[in-house]
Amino acid sequence: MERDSQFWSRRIIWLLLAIATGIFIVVKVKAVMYVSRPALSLYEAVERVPADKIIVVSCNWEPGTRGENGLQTEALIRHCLRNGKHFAIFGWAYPAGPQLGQQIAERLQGRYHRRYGEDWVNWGYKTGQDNMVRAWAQNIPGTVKEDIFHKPITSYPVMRGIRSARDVGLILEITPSDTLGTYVRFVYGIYGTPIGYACTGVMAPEGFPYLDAGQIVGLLKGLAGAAEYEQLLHYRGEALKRMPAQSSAHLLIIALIVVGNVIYFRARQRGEAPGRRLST
Amino acid sequence: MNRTPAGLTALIALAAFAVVAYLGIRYRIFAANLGIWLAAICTLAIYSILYRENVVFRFFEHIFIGLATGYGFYTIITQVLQPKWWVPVAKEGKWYWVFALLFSTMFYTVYSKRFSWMNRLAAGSFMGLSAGLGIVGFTTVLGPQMAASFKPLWTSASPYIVVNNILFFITLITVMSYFFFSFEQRHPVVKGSARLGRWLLMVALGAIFGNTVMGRMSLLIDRLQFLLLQWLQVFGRH
Amino acid sequence: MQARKWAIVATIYAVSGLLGAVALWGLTHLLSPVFRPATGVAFGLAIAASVVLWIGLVAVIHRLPAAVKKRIVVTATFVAGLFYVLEYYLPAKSAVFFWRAHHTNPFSPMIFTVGDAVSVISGFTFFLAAFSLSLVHGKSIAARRPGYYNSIAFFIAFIMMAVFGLWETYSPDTTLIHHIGWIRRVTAHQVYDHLFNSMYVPLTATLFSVLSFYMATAAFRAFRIRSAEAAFMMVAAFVCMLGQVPLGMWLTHSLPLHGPLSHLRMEAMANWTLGVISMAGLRAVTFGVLVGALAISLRIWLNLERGAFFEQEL
Repeated sequence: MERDSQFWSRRIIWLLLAIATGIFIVVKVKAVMYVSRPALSLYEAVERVPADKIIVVSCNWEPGTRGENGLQTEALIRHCLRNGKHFAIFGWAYPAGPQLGQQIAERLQGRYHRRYGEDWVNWGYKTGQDNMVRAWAQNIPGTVKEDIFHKPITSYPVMRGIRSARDVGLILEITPSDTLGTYVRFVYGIYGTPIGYACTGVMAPEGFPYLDAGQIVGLLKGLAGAAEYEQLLHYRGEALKRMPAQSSAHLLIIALIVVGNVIYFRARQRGEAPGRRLST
Repeated sequence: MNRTPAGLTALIALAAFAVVAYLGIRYRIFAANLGIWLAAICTLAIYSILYRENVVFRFFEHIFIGLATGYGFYTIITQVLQPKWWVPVAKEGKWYWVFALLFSTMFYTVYSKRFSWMNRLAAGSFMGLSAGLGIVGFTTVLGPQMAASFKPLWTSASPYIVVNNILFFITLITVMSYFFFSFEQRHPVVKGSARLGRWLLMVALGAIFGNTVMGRMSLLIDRLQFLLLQWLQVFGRH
Repeated sequence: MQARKWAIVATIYAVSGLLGAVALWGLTHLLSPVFRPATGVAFGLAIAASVVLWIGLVAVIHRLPAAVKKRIVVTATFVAGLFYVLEYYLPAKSAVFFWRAHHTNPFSPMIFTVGDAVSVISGFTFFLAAFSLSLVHGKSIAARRPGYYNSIAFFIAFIMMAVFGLWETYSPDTTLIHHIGWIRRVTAHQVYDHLFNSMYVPLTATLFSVLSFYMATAAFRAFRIRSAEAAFMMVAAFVCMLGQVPLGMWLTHSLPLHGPLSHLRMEAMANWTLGVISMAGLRAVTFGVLVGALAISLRIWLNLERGAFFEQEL
């Protein structure tokens, strides 16, 4: 009987979560985000990249975190395409990253009249992690060799004059994992190349020490960060549209924690639940 | 009571699904697009775990592992090995790159107890490279972090900055003192500092928890958005 | 006595490291005329000679005693790590490198070659993962274990993705089906597109999103505020959760955007929590992690690490 009630109470909570989130996906509510300092800093860093340098959009993410990293990538690529900043998609942590970035850039390029090869390029996926990045920072064409379409990258106009990390104006590291450290150690630490960090919500608190030390120039925190960036671009994209659903989900989680604790303390008062304090 | 055979149950379920799908597409409730339907079936199959462990979830889970392995397989061949190994060897005559293939075969001796020393040698070399990079990385990461930790505790700028810097300093020192495990913390100052550090660390853990919730919910919203707006086409095509 | 022992060990490491580095450099210089591109018969002979040399070297090392093999592994680990350490810590230009044209660091040009080699070797070793998975699922099918049809599904998905991925790369417009019934034309690109965008991406995204449901259950059943510290943690979590979404921002939207009261706005409090207190706490943790990582790196580099992998018999 108790097992049955546990079984159904979990399913009811899950149904509540789906309803609470689903309602605000279907019902359109306009959300306004106040932009945080880290997101604004990243936006300004992209704006400041000189015309003779390239931005590296490092798509070190996989389809599992598309809900956050995908929207961040879209916002950042949109900014680059809108402002005519040259960029290169690159990835070395997850094989699917560069292809997912490619799909986003291909979808957006027509709107801003940009062309592959002239305004942007995709260096594809490379293995080797730290060792490869260390070599890449020293010699980009030699390490990358071909783009995702198997043409030599030096044959593209956008790659003119790009030899090493010194010719990179900004690295936009978009990732759900701890790959930022590699760029900080072997690119920023040796060549001083600026790095921007777009991470999932889980990794966001760990990015702040780097931001404070100046090792990264800006930070986007998950879906909220993508929404803030869309706010800065004055573009009402998917991230902004999903923020009401995000609000609803957060409210439900807070309510569940509060209700769960209320039930627990009442049961403890009645002597039905074990009460113990952690030693301090 | 005789139970309905599993095969017949599956057939009835499949037929019911086909009828619902046909009617849904016919009356424009569902999208009429093979790709969206495939994606919806995959999504619902995985979400079936929420009801309970079942064969459909296991089946699609194995399909996912197969697809992921296959994707990595062909990506490595086309984007790494072909431009960086095959082209230099076969087209540029750089025969010495064959040593890379011979070296990598040493990793495959992990399955043989007799030749496992080769795996140790290859893995040891890679671990040495990583260790070297780790020693280099220590300097490049720690230096700026330490320099940034020396914040002015008094400045003529806004009092907000002064208060923040003092709080930062207190938090940093007390949390670091909390992690001193190499000696017993007996002195009241050390004990008090460690206790305060623990409290302040709770703020960091709370922030991590809050952001984790944010991260996970975003992924759920992505899938629900697909199901509701692209597959079910609630309130028209999206 | 202990200090004298450590001094001797350190000296042995320093001398052997220096000798190893000089030997490596000398070998590279001596052999550089050999390592040049070749064509035709010379190419074939060079490949054959490389394979024979490699097999011979492996055969010789295989016959050595276990202690000598272990010493070779330890030396290879040390020299591999020494390369990056010397490249970084020696100056980029110095009169010490008197034999170099512009007195530049001799290890810097090798960074690119080493990185390329590691990239290629890492690529080849990926197939080990595919091989292991195939072995496990192959055994499951052969033994007809319960649920072996899942292993069949694994192989079908693996082969289809690999084949159509390669097809998509080298010949995406290949027509697979020409006008059968209501199916007009099916190309390799279309099949790959469905495999990637309609199956792989949704499956991955959905598997990750399932965690959100378990988080909701944990919020209700497991997060118990049993102490003041836990309450403190929950308050910080609530502030961060509300301060980064429009709902929380709306709660305090009536407070001014500038001035002392602006710090009480929900988004300001969330950013303050993340950017000051949480940042300081995590920096303290980062210092510990960095020192720990350095210790592990040194232990592996200097063969001080112990454990099943490092102590297994060769």
